[in-house]
Amino acid sequence: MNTIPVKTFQDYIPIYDGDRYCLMCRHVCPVERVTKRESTTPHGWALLIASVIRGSLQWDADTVDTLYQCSDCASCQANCATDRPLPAALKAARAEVVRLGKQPASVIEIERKLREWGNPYGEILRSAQNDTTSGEVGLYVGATAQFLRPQAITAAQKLLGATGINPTLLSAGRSSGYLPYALGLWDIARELARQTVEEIVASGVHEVLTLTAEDAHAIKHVYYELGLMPPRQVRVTQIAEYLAPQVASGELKIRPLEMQAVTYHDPCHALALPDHAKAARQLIVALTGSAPREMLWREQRAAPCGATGGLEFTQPKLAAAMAQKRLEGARDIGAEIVLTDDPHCVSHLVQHADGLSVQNLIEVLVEQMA
Amino acid sequence: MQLRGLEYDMVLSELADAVGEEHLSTRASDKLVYATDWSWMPQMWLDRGEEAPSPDFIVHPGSVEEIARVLQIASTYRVPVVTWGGGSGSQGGTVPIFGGIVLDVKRLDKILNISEQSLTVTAQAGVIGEVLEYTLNERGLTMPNYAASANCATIGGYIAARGSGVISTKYGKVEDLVMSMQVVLADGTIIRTPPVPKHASGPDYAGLFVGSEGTFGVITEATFQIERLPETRLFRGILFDDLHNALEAGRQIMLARLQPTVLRLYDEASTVSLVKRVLNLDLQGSFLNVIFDGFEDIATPQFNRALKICADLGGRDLGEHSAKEWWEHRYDFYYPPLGLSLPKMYGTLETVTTFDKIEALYWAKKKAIEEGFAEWDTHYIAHFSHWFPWGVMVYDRFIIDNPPQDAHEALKLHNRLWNVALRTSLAHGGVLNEHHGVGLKLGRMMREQYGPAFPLIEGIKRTFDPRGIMNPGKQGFSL
Repeated sequence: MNTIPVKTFQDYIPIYDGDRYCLMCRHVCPVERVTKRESTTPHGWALLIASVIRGSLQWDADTVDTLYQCSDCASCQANCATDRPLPAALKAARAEVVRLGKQPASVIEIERKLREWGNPYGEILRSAQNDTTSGEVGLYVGATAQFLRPQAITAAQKLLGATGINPTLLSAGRSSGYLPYALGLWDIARELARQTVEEIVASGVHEVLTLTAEDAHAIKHVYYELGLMPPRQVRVTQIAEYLAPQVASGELKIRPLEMQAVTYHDPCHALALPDHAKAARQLIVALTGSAPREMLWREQRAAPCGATGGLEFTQPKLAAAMAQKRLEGARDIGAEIVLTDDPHCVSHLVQHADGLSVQNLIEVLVEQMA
Repeated sequence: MQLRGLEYDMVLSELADAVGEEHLSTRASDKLVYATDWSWMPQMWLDRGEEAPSPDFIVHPGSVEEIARVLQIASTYRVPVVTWGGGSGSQGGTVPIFGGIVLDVKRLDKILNISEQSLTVTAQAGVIGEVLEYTLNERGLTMPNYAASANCATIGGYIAARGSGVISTKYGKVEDLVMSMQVVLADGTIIRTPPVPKHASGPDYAGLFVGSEGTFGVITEATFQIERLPETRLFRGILFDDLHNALEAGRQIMLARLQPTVLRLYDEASTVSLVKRVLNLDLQGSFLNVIFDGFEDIATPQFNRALKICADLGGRDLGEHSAKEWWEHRYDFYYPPLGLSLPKMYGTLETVTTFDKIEALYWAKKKAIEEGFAEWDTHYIAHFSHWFPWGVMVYDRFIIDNPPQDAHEALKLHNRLWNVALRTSLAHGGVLNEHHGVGLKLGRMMREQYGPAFPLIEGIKRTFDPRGIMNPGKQGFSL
């Protein structure tokens, strides 16, 4: 397998130094909007790391905990006039913390599970592993849909079936490697990524559709950062981006559904997929006949729901608070239904919905197939 | 002033009771980040490994009542309180040099009312400027305080620092936009200023809080005048051979009361350096951005009249591209690696004076800095960006690429240079500062600006803050 050089903690020192006193992206940091603490902002994290490098702080329970509060949404970089790669730099700092053996106990536990199961949730069932379908298109299942929202897989299969595709199921139950990458567990991340690439290549598919934005982002972009080449000549697309033109062309027919007061949550990591926001909204228009009510934090300034960056495992209170904040944003505009197209986001948000209806757009579309 | 022993623990437990354990921090990671704002002095201090001016406690109150309780505790134990908004100040106004309590207001983040009938917005002090702007834009409205710090500054900070933004020439500084405030005083008393700013119910007492940098009280809520987003914006870049004619063009445009939105004039040194580096415009001379906005049928004739003034004074019309580029990238100047940063030494010396004095002031400061500190190869660059009916502000900066590495030597040089610059401004009809504030950096010069009036100002301070707990060491006020 081809490999490419991996940037390390040392390579990112100019980024920590340059960003430690830059406050220009704090307004889009979703963690700060919850914690209100300067230390949990992009410049706060950069200053923390730069201060450890300078010896004025050490990696201890306090500083490591602070480092692991970044949700890894990459909104800071997406809204940076000079495209500073702080999200990658923070993950490199976590990898350094892991190298020094200073990672939190929760990260050690996740590493154990990932090594044992290939995911943080449980043993992969044999039935999930044995897909013998072979075709041009693969449906990347991954870990979160398999364990947290299996109905999303069935829904995607039915929708694809309606367009004449019987997809090969890929990586059912196995993490793409993004979670350990985000947590600084780069060895296991690289191993899971390698397995994913090998499986995709072995399957012979030419197109991989993912259920989560995170998995599409991982395969398309993050594998480079782990030193791996993504599978050659294989197009990777999040499923909403695939379905939108199918619906627009009439290839996939959807019966209109009367839905009042709908808003849309841009999934975590959708910022890394430039076509995603438009595609998902096109599907909602096709479904409901009108554009969704828009939350303040959307599209380019979209806020994650707390399901990303491993926060559910390392910072469960923060993950919950971010979900509540996201749903508060929906209530602020009078929404009653929150649609999103990421099974991980759905499973996380429904736990905190408190009267709001959180639904998976993909599953709703299946119900409305003509 | 570091608290110790029983006193420390008493304050700690009372603060926890006031704001809740989860909103009180003594963590090293928190103390470090609150040790410095956006100003050069504390950043350099940290960078060179010196002991940071650290708070004892950081509190994040969630209501005005909790703020009142924090201030009562601080007053009882005579503990300094530094109010923290976005930490984007460039004058060291939020540096906790005497320790004590950093009171972060960002949990007060509610936008309470938007009146499209009166075009006003009322919001809590911890709302980030750009978040307010996003919210207003959803309704076709805008708060015309386009500060470069909008992404990080809070609206309370806008007022506390008496700040300004890039369209102030038409829409005014923050003191022109703020209508009323809620303030918590040092003893915990919660007051409201009159509901409107234009009245004859005595002097403008409310104005005492505008620019007070947390020394008179904690601003917790404010109402501002807002605007509708303009129907049109008209752009033109103009290049003058020299600064003199460019300044004269700006003066004539202002005296003709043409209401430009932006007149951004770069001196020759900025044009060949900053404008080239950030906007990639290769120009020689003085570059002037002219922007008008509003209803097209009103803005267009004003714009054309302004362009004629420029042309009559020899300004070369560059078309709209350069001015649009500047508008699109107007904040890029502050992002790394484009902005000034350590290990350089730098500072924004800006001041304001009347049209009859501005050119002499500019040249006097340029000479004082470049010749007075030639041994450090000190650069002086400037632009003129906030214009008034009677004068203009000069946003001038000094840059030393290779300052002393020793923190103490660096600070000594920094302060000596600032003293020279400030005294030059005062001697030429300027003031200490136009819109960045005073803070720690300029506090020592307040006596020189105000002369025999300063003891009276100190008397006002004692009235508001008899125990001297409100941001001591700033604006020239003692502990």
